[in-house]
Amino acid sequence: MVAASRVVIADDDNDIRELLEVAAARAGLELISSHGDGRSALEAAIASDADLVLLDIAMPELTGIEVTERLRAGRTDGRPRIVLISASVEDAVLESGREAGADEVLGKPFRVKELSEHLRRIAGARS
Amino acid sequence: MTRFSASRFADVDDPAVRQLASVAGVLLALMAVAFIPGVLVFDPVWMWVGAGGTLALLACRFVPWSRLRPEWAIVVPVLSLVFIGLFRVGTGGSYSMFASLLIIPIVWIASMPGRQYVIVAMVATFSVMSLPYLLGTEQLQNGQLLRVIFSTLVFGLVGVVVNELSRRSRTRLARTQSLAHERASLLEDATITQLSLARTAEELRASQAFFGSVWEATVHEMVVVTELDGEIVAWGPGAEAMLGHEAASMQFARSIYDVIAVDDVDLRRRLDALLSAEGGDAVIDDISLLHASGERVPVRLSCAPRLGADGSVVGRIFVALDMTAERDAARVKDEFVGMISHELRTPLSSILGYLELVRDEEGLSDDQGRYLDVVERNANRLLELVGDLLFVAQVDAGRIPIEVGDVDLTAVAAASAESIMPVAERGGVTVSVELPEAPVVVRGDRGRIAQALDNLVSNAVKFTRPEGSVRISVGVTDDEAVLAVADTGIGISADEMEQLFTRFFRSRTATREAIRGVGLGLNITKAIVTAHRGTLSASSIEGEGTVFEIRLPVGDGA
Repeated sequence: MVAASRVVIADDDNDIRELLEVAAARAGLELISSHGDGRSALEAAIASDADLVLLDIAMPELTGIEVTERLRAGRTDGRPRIVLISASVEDAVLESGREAGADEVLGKPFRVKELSEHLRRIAGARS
Repeated sequence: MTRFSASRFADVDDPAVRQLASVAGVLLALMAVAFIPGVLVFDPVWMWVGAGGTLALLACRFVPWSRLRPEWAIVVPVLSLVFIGLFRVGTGGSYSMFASLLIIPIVWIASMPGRQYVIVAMVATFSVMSLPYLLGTEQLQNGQLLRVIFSTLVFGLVGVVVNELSRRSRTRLARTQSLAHERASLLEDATITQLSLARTAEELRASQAFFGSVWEATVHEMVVVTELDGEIVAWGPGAEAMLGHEAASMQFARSIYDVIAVDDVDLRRRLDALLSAEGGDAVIDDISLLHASGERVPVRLSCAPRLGADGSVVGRIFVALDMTAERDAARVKDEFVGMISHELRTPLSSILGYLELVRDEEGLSDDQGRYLDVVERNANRLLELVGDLLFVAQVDAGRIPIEVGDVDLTAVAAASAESIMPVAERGGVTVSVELPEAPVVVRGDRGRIAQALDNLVSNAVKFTRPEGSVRISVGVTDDEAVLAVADTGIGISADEMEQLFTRFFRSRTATREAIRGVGLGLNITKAIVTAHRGTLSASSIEGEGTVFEIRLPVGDGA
């Protein structure tokens, strides 16, 4: 049996963060830790060598995009998989998330069921 | 010349004044008759007729000579000659010692302009000299006729000399008058020139004052006048206020390029294009000028050629508007959009997300399910409203997100009809779709075009009463695709049609019938259609229905 993918979650909104945790759990992911800011999420992701990182874009300390850039700057093997979530409607924001190296950029509001499916698919395609 | 020949007679003195000479002569003769013994008086009657007539001619003073032809003045000396002739007849006839008095009117006659007056004088002399014989006071004896003729010839010679002298005198007078006229004319010209110069000077002063006032009034815009090489020749008060440099330190000392921040090649290229512009319309919106403090001032810069007196370009005029406030406003707006995105959409995301979790729970009663429907519907309404407000803000910022691709309008119309169907059914409105068999493909953003059509369809259903109908159709002409939405709804009154696409406009009927909405849908639809280089039109009859048409160019990128 294949071990469950391990995920680090970060969103500065507690309610949304809990929703993300539910979606991750429904996708069969193992939660490493969840955070309210970018910096601690980055540290946790690096320290735990997470398979997947699920990040809000607008966060204190470091934004989701900055975390993505730093994670991508460190290694070239595509790990960890990164999913960004944003409440912005600005295409530029979503585009810069992709440019930073995110595997997926999703908008808010999201359906929990759809997010779970995304996470499951992305985790399943892990390298 | 006509003017001078016509006035020749006007130069002749008043005839009454001239007659005074004859009168004086006759009075002297009368005194001689009275006081000198031995003076002959042949016939007192003729003497007195002659003397009286000579005196009476003074009455010519009262003749309106100015109204008569000038030649008529000759009547006076001719009559004077006749009366003196009669005086001569009375005082001794051919033996009279007063015959010399005749010279006075003869000279007068001969001095008149024209050779013919010499003849007149001679004829008159001959006649007057013949009077004693004509009146019968003397007998014409041998030698008398010769004497008359000789006297006539002598007087005639005098007349010729007088006539010639008079002519020369008149010629000189005419020349003098001509010169005087010429001088007067020159003087008049000089006066006019002087007045004109004075007026020009006045206009120049007014023009300078006008220019000075305009120049001093440009306190909010930077206006700088330069030579072709950029050397500053005039530094306006607005430039002083905007960039902190005083005019005295800039004029004829610095170049305009010292204060323009040119950071990259693209800006340099656009600045060069601006400098070669022939009118004042060319502008650069996103350029900065350097303040004396080193800070940058974002400006809108325009440049127009400065013309010299011969119309050639001798320099440039730069005008800059401080855009700091506009930039700040744009930044605040961007921040607002960002804030709305985050602060409104995040709680809505929570609401919708947790609703989903609750629905996933088992054991919800039907009522609970219905209540959750209401919550979800209203959360979605809020989400749509926030989306609309954000979209409008993006339109204002000139950033309509358009992802261009091939869009089949028949598929868009079918999807729109399908998604509105449940709402239409609840409202008792029939929705039909009329599609051509072949796809109608345009270049554009599928999501945006669908959003535009959904707005029209959702409006049509909202504004149509139960048992009414909404028809969605797709058509195509040579160069346009047409998406039409026709309803049998409440319609829009003619006076409100113009405001239909205005932001936040709500028709009277919509307000009266409490049909929900904030008046953004049509404005957004219009913006989307315009961004696709299409047109949106509407026609309506109040109480009968409304037709909206979106026309998009076929086979062309948006």
